Amino acid sequence: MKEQEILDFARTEPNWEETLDWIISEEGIDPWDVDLVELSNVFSKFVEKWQKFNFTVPARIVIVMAILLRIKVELLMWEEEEKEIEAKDIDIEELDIDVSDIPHLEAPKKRKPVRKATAEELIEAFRKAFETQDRRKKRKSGREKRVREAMPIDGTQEDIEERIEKLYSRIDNILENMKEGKTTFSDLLPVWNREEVVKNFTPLLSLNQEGRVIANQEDYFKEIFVEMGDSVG
Amino acid sequence: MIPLDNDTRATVEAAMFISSRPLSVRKLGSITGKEGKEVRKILDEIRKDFSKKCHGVELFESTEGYEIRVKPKHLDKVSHLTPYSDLSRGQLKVLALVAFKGPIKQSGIAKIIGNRAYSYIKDLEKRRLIRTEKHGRTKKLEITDEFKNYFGIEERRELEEKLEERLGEEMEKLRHKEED
Repeated sequence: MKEQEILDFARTEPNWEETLDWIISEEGIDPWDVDLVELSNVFSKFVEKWQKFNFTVPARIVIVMAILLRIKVELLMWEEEEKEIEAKDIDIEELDIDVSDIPHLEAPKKRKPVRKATAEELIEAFRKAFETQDRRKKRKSGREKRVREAMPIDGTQEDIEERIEKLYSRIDNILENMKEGKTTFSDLLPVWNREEVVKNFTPLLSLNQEGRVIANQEDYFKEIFVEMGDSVG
Repeated sequence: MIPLDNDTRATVEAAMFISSRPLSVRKLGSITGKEGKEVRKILDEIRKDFSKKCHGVELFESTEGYEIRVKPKHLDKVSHLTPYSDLSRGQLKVLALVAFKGPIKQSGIAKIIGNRAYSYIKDLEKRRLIRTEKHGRTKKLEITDEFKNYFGIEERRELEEKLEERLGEEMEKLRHKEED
């Protein structure tokens, strides 16, 4: 799997079924006889490369990887046990065989039967191409719907300047009554939900930019601490 | 006249049988230790033999070299016996769009199947199954003679008839679906 191919594939935001399907087809794994150990190795490498691009790996894909790794461990442990049993059962010395007498065997090479695509498959691919298009459209409109729900744009929206000032006076009020002079972003919100976070985060960035407040976040996705800045608003 | 060497012929056949990729005359020459002229002569003999009706395979020559393949006439009956096709599903989707909607813009294909289309187009162009022609800021794609050769057809119409037969009314809907 080339990095560019993985990058292109990740951009399509595939689900876990499509990911498995893609890996099996790209790696030329026989879909009728999947070697789970091999699949698990390839899948892990794929996720590793995906992460390298700084993409967030969807939770379901991580779960699939965990399941595959578990299956791999179980299979390998089972193989080990089998080997131990075999080793205990056979004692070559007792059999009184000169190993050098055993002829070297080489399995005959078998061709991997690659064939041409058929006209039937070409026709089916034509239909599938449009199914892909429909799926992509559906995914896109779902994404847009989620964004619209999180950030409704309508006439009832407050002006951004108004929101900035409201947030600033809220911070000012809270800090006035606090000894340590520091509050948290979550305490500034009336309710902790996506809409409120989105509504207040941009004004906070703007206040921070203007120097009216100082916002600090020690780690990604962790709490944001807010204190008054030097510029008085 | 170069006398035919049965042993070399057998090696050429064996090489093409076991290889998953087409082999060039040069490669076959290095395998058999024979001159290109002699290899070509052997290939001609194999082609003649396999073209007889009693054979289900044929010698196929493409830009990539020579290979033994199942005759297109028999492929539908036996293709289910192996899952390995030499075209990936993505490549096949692009090829189908070019075959049934071509000439079609490269950007139109990307709108239907996504950005991965660009790398599939490159692969197909490299195999000369499609050709591209500059069209403003994008490219227009069309099938080639190599494509017809690959599917064992004389004219594109033959494929369109199969498409019509298979998809019926759905076909018209799909053929006129916009690349939006």
